[in-house]
Amino acid sequence: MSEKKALEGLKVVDFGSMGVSPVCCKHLADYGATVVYIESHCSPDLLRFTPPYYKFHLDGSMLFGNYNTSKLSITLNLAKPTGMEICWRLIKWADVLSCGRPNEWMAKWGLDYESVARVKSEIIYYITSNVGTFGPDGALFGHGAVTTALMGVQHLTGWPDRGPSNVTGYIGDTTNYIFGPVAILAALELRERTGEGQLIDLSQVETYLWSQSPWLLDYVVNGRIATRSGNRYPLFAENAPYGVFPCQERDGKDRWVAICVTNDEEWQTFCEVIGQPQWTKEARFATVLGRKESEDELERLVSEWTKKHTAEEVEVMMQAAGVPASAAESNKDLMEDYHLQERGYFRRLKHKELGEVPYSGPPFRLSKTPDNQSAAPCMGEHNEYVFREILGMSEEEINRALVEGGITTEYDLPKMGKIG
Amino acid sequence: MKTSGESALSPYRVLDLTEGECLLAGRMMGDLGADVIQVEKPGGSPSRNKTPFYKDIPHPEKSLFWFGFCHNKRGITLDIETADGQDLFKRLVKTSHFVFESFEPGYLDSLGLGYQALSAINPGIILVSITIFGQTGPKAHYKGAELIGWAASDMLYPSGDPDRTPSVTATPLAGQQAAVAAVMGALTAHWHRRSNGQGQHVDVSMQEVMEWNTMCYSQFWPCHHMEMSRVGWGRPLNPKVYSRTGFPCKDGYSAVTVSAGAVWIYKATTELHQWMDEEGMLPDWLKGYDWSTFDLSKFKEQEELDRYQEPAKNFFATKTKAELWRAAVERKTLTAPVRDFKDNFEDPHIRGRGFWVDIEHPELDEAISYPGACFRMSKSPLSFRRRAPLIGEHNDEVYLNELGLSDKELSILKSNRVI
Repeated sequence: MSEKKALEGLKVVDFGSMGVSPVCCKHLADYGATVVYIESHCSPDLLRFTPPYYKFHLDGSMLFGNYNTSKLSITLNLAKPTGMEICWRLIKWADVLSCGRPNEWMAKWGLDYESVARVKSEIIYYITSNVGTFGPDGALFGHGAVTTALMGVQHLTGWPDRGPSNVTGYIGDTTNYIFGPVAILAALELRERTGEGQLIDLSQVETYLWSQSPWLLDYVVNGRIATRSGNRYPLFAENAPYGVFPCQERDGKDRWVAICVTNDEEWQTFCEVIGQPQWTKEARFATVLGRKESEDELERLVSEWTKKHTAEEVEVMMQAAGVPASAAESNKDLMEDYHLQERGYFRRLKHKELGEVPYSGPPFRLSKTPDNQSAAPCMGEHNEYVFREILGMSEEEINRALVEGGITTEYDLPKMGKIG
Repeated sequence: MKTSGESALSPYRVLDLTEGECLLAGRMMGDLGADVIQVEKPGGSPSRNKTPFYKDIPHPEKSLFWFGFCHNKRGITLDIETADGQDLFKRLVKTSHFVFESFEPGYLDSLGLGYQALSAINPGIILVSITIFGQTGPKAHYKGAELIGWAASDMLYPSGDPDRTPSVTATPLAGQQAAVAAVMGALTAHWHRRSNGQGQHVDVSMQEVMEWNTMCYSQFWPCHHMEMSRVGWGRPLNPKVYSRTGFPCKDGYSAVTVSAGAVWIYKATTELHQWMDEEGMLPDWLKGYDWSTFDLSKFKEQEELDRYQEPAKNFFATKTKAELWRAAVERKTLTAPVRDFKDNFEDPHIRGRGFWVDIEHPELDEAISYPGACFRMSKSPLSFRRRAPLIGEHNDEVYLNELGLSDKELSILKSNRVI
């Protein structure tokens, strides 16, 4: 094992807020970058109050927690000269500035790319928004629910005989978390060669469209518009059975298993496992065309079998024989998943207020420079460290900023309702 | 945004052995400027048989799946299961910086092409492995598919309508997400390599990548002992109540936010109700209501919350997608139409940003509009240099010009189906 962390020495200032910019920076922080998250008691990050939380308190949310591990949190009020001065000292210190705030908000504070690049041309400035900051509707600012709709996720989810449904979470937000680090690390690579910084503009809708290229081309070339179809996947499941099947209930709750037969060999094996070897010879099911034609009938018969078993039993029986299958894991299952435990995916980290609680691991592993995750910071937890050790501020300077309100405290908190 | 300059990854070479949606990782490296060589089995990759097809003609040179995930790559054929193939692959590794693969764990090891073997040839090589459950652990050898990625990560169970089978998006997501995470891992390892020249092995598990798409649903268990289930188009608040996040509108559907909790969210809710008031659709009891005090956590029964969200539902029924969108841009009402791929293809904003790029396909005698750069970089634009490769299109270029094989050697290898 190498001593050095993969991104050690990389300096990032994160303006937040919500999910996309913070998780991007969190991924960099978990692998060793020093990330300073600029927060403010005057306008706390919504996620600090959003469920799931251990307690309704600034430092109680695990949505915030999971999204902000390994960071340093400081609290500033940019409306005060001392707050803005500290902010600029951090920008001058940083290699990367990341923000998921409206461009007009950054511009209002004189922190837009042009203003920052004038002072520090080598900055990598990453700004992300629903539809991008330039273009006719670039002024739009919204959250993940907005992006998810624009991407068309609800159009693509649910049943052909019904209106839209939705998938877990706001994938308009979540699918974007991993794009920012790619852009930033690519820009840093260029800067190492040329010394140049640059602006990165990421539209959260465009990343999704980009990742859906084949199905957009299907519209462009063939005029076909992908639409919701239950789990039939007319657009990519070439074999059958391929779907989600009911299993024995558990504690009164529904349970399901996904089974994906993707070729003829798996079909033969599948029939062996469920004890229906004769199906491979019956006219209606013997060929893939027959199975597609009789898919309703096939799914009904498969369901009769799966209902007699637990989802976990079906998963094990199928996988042992070489047929792709997985229980539809609930959040509880996932937290207790023996495979993830063996891999150390969820790990208990010591949070200053909450004690040891589980966090998600990073979405990739490095063999020589493993991640070095630490718990999410409490609000302003690192004021002292950042101001003294990173910025080299004197006691007097810090006190002046505190008295002026440039550094915020709990007394600056507004009164607000809870969010669900 | 005006862009100019050289590509970010132009000095680097990638060998891409992946299949399926994982092909997107190589495309991303190619978009960023790397020289990506797709290594296919003689006869062509099985991914060339994936739907959809150009003009619905099933043909390995006409797969839109291949077009969409392989442009900006060069293509060679090579059977890495033969001794000659392994030898040639190792020679290519000497001058490469990254290898991407999506085989079952241990497969490359069994061919003598695992990380240890490759790093002995080139200590700087970064090997990126994308699999359904990762390289280690009791399920490492489980078989995968798109839907397995959803099922194993808690993305499936809470998705879809509550009274029916859990259901997911009609087009794939898990494989592409794993591919992007793979590039993130590759570039993180690359940054480290810059300091000491050492490569490493990157392990990407689709299950873990997809867990990152759940918005921390897993945390509802330790925090609230809530097992999350399906609520259709909404956001679960507690086991009995969910917040509606979408309504039908005059010509389709639209997302809605009737909520609070942050200044800009209650302002958006206030603005939406102000608009409803202007149009005479705000019930009296909501006039002058202070949305900053709205507290979603206090609702214990669905009907209580519905009472607050129904007026917006009725209002949406009188508005078009376009009207709701203009309000979102101009009044910041957080109202967003549900689009389909056609809507997005035609959207003036996305067009105005120059997202679509026409790429020539001389064999088809046509230029096709592709989704362009996934993000914009002012100094190192993501560029479009070539359409997806034909089968073995760059065999001569790579084997003769770059590896220095003779014509005679190449023909022997071809007749033995190594190439």
